[in-house]
Amino acid sequence: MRFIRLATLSLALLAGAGSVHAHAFLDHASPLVGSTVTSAPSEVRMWFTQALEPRFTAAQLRSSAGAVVASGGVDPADPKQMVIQVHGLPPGKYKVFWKVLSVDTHRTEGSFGFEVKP
Amino acid sequence: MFKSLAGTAALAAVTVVLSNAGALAHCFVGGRFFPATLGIDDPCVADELSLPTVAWSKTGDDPPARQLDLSMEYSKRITEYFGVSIGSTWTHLSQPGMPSQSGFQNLETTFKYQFLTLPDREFVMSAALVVEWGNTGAAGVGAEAFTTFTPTLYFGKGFGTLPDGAGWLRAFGLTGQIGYSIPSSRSSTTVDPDSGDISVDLHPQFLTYGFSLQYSMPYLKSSVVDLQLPDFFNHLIPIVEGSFQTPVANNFNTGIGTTGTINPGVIWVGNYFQVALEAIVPINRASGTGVGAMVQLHLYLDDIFPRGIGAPLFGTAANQGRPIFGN
Repeated sequence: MRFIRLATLSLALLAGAGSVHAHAFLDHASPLVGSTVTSAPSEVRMWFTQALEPRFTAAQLRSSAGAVVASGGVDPADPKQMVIQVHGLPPGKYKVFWKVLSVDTHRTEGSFGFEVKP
Repeated sequence: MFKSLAGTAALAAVTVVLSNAGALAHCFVGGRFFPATLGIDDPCVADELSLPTVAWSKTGDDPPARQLDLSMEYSKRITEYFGVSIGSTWTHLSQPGMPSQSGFQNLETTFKYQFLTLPDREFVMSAALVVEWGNTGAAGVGAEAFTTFTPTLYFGKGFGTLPDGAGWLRAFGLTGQIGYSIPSSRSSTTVDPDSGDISVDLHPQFLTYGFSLQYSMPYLKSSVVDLQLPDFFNHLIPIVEGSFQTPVANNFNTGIGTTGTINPGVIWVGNYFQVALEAIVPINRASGTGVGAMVQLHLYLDDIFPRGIGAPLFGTAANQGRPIFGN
């Protein structure tokens, strides 16, 4: 009976927590994580699972040599998206590094690669 | 009859200690997320609640007793890197030809400090003192009258730091723990109520150790390659855990050897909670009979209540400031 009461309380708390926010994960990106594209993209866009704090969120696009190609941040039109504007990316392998702070103050980070082929 | 039941109860207690050793923390290290594990503890400190953990198994007795464990554990961060956990387990033992036994195991608390976090290396280490408080449970289900102290070291390592050429292997992660359990007394004396014979039972010191090898589908999708699988699969972490204990001192003539279980299973990870299902495979006859199972609902309190009970009592939960990228 004690466990049933505690379990009920937990589920009630969980159900009541629908309006809060959690850690922000990268849901998907364009170009796709780990993909190869045949035309140079004009931007790298990332969709996250939670809204981000623009002041404490940043992303970098780097070449295979580690040189910073471009930087970006939260899309002003959608706080769940980050965007890095790029122009005329030459063929090669690239890596995107991102560090974000979700609106509930949880910090997460990650990286992924993609390749541009002629 | 008394000795058989005592053996069953003792084994039940050992099983509970092994399965209850984890503080089951919510664990981010760089791009890596280590889920709460069931057989061992994960290497981080967090605000979380495991409620319930349900385990079914059969003991190594002859004939084996059916054992049901219902557990809960609550973990609270005092500071961002120091936390305290408290756990309790209710056990029901049913052995053929004998009356059933039910009751709580000893209360267990864990004082844990996450002293090393290397996000770029996906590597983390913690140290803890696990205390099982004697005389806080029911002797009928194997709860001991003495207290046991277990200093324990934990680590977690993600394989995402492998070269990009390693491909899908980069989604693997490994966690482990090693501890040394020290009873508060070296032995106990019991008197057989029928014969009046006096026997002395030694309380061995144990080396406790375990591992988890996990394959993170969330990491695969977000950091290696997006296979555009149905969303359900992107939340799965297939896992194999192992937890063991070996007597290393004060065990002369006790007949106690290494016991443990291997636990293959899968964890589904959401934003606010995770659900886990694992099999319990004993490594030898003394560790159990046949294959058991355990399930767990685990709540991420730091995500559910980020500014309330899910935040550390002192200090901030996150380093504020514009992100800085390394070279």
